[in-house]
Amino acid sequence: MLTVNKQQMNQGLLVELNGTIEENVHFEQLIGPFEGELTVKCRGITRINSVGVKTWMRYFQNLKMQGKTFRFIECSHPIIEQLNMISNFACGGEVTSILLPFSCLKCQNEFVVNCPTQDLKARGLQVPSVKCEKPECGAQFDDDPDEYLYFLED
Amino acid sequence: MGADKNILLVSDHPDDASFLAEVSQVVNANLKVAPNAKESVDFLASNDCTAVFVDVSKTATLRGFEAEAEKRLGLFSDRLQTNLIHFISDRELSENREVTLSPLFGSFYQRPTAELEQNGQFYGRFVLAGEKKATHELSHFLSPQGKVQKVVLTNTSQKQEAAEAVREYLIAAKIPARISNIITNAVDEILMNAMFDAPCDEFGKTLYSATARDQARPLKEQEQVTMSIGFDGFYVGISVTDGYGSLDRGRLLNHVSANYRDQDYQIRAGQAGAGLGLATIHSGGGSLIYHCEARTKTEATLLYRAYPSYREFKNQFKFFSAKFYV
Repeated sequence: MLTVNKQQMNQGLLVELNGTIEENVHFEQLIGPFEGELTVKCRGITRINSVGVKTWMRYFQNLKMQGKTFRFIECSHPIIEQLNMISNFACGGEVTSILLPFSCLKCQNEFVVNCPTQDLKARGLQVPSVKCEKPECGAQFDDDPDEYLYFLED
Repeated sequence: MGADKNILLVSDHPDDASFLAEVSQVVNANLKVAPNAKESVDFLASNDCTAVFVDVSKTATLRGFEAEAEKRLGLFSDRLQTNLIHFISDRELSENREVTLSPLFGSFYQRPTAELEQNGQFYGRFVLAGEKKATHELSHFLSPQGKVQKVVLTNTSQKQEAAEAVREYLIAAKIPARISNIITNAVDEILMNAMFDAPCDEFGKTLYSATARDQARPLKEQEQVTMSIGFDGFYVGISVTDGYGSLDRGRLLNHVSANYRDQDYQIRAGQAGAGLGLATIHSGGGSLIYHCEARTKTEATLLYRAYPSYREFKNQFKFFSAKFYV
């Protein structure tokens, strides 16, 4: 199930997607009409199945054909996975920021850090080192950096 | 060893011999290593083999083996059933698509670079299960303490509920959320295939492949789908079985090895996920076994080693198998 929180911003509409994108999702109804730019916050997307991928691409390709501008922020792992797997998954939208996953086997903790893609590109796609609030934390980036950031390569 | 079963390895890579030594021990078979196509086919011509492993990292080796086997045995010989053939490569399946076009393709794994003993024993259980031909059920892969639970789905609307139940089961088993979501997504895909792509009429024409996936439909008798799940503290296994056995080998191999990185994905009407689901499952981390008995059943089995971190999970040893029985 997917829930959508909408917030009107100066430059357009901000929508926050939370949950699973699958066959019951109808973006046209959930998001509705909007003026200006659409910003899609993807932090809360936990998974997307193959029908959801198709629904996503159909919706955003239509927006692009209508001349609308849109961008994706705080992209979670399921969205990163699709960006890396399907070359045209962003459908022409800008991926502004992504969530970097970290895990610490000492603290038994998983957490994510939001990072602007521009910063990552400026760092030569090097993942920053991050610790959680615990002093003994040994958090490490919990993925293969080359694979995870593949879609940002030129 | 004194066993009367044989496993043949066509490879000169030392890691393959170490891995297969473990497999052979589990299967209780003699391991015969043949460094080239001619020697391997010589052996096959006069010995029954439980399994034949071929290093296909180089296309020329595969083609050489195919040519020699065709000349001496015939590609459709009983001694060379695809269900007995295991391809080994130094690359992933999506980077090795040409091997799926081989008439000998049965099972495939990327050569493991670590834990040869552990992984070899695990693969040995798979080979052993294949000997029984009738099934690859979860109990073959899990240790005895791994209890298997079974549920029968009687309406397509139960798919999401079943997928969510799997996610909750995995979270309760202390599997990290990100890994649990990936496994849940894979289960979602194989359930969808079983509910919408498997049902067909007596002529093999699919009945619901063009039906919208959000449409609720009762699953009557043969349409019912059985899902099993088990976890032994080390491996998670989930299998989904339909009552049709209508899986198309060519489409399966094409989808599972698809690569959408280099060319744009084209959305077409009325094809649901159009193979994306299968490609996602295999790239997602675990092993995938398709066991299809024509006009009887198709059993899709997912196997994952439960690592504490995603990085290890993603790079785990995995295999893909497409077994078809007439």
